[in-house]
Amino acid sequence: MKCEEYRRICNRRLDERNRSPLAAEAELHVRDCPRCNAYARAMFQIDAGLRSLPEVQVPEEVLASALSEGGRCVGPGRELLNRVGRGVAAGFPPAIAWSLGGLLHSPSDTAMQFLLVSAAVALFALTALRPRLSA
Amino acid sequence: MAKEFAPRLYRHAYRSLGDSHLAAEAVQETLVRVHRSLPDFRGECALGTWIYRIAVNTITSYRRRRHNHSISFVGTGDIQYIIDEEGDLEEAFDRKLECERLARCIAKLSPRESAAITLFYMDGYGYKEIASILETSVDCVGLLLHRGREHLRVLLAGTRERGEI
Ligand SMILES: [Zn+2]
Repeated sequence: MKCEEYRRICNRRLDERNRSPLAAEAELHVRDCPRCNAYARAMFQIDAGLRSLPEVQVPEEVLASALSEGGRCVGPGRELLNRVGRGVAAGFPPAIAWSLGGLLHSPSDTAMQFLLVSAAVALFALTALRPRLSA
Repeated sequence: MAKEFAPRLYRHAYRSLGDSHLAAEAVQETLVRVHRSLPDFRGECALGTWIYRIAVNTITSYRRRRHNHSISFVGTGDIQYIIDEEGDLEEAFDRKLECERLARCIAKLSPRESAAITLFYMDGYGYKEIASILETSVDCVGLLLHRGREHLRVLLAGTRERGEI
């Protein structure tokens, strides 16, 4: 095996949760080859340094702003409401089309009034709800 | 959900970016992106994996946008140097100073190396989860960690030589 292969084995071993000992052949090479030996020790030192870095303290304001962001939006309950809202908003145009169809079949003043009112309500609901739902 | 993930994302972002303001901004942007994309989340992976994927992408774009001019990633050619210089390995060193240097060097790695190192060492993820977050293969994660440590060694040697913190 080439030096590069031994170094790859050394590196891979650093990532193991329960480190197994190096195979006898690799162990011998890393012990006797000065360059691989230096490499293995350097990598071990970096690995140890990374494992011993102190935990980052989270500033209060990060949590506060995250919570305001979270409260404004995320969460399965809120998401469900949004989906229902979108569904209702999407249902308005077919409802108007259906009313129009009915009107053409049996025109009457009452039906016309009903259609105009429902069209106005639907338009208002669409313009008022859409931006909020997609925000 | 934001309450659960914000501290973890902040720690990850801080280690990757090396700056508390940028880290806070990146967390905020990540949460906004998570919120916007939540309706499209189909559950193909764990929610945490998906959120981290968004975080890593956000952090990467932050690094490209704001740090491009000041970061020069180390190349593979520099690695020979760490094999040749043996002397300072035995030197006694100020542990705290060395920790600070190491932490700063993580932010100077390439975005994917920095993400892999941070996910592995700080977030405690294994190869499989990191592969899923970075949308790459398990073998590539091993390579990113391997190269990341080598580059950290080069960067550390450089900062020590220049007497930087
Ligand atoms: Zn060798």
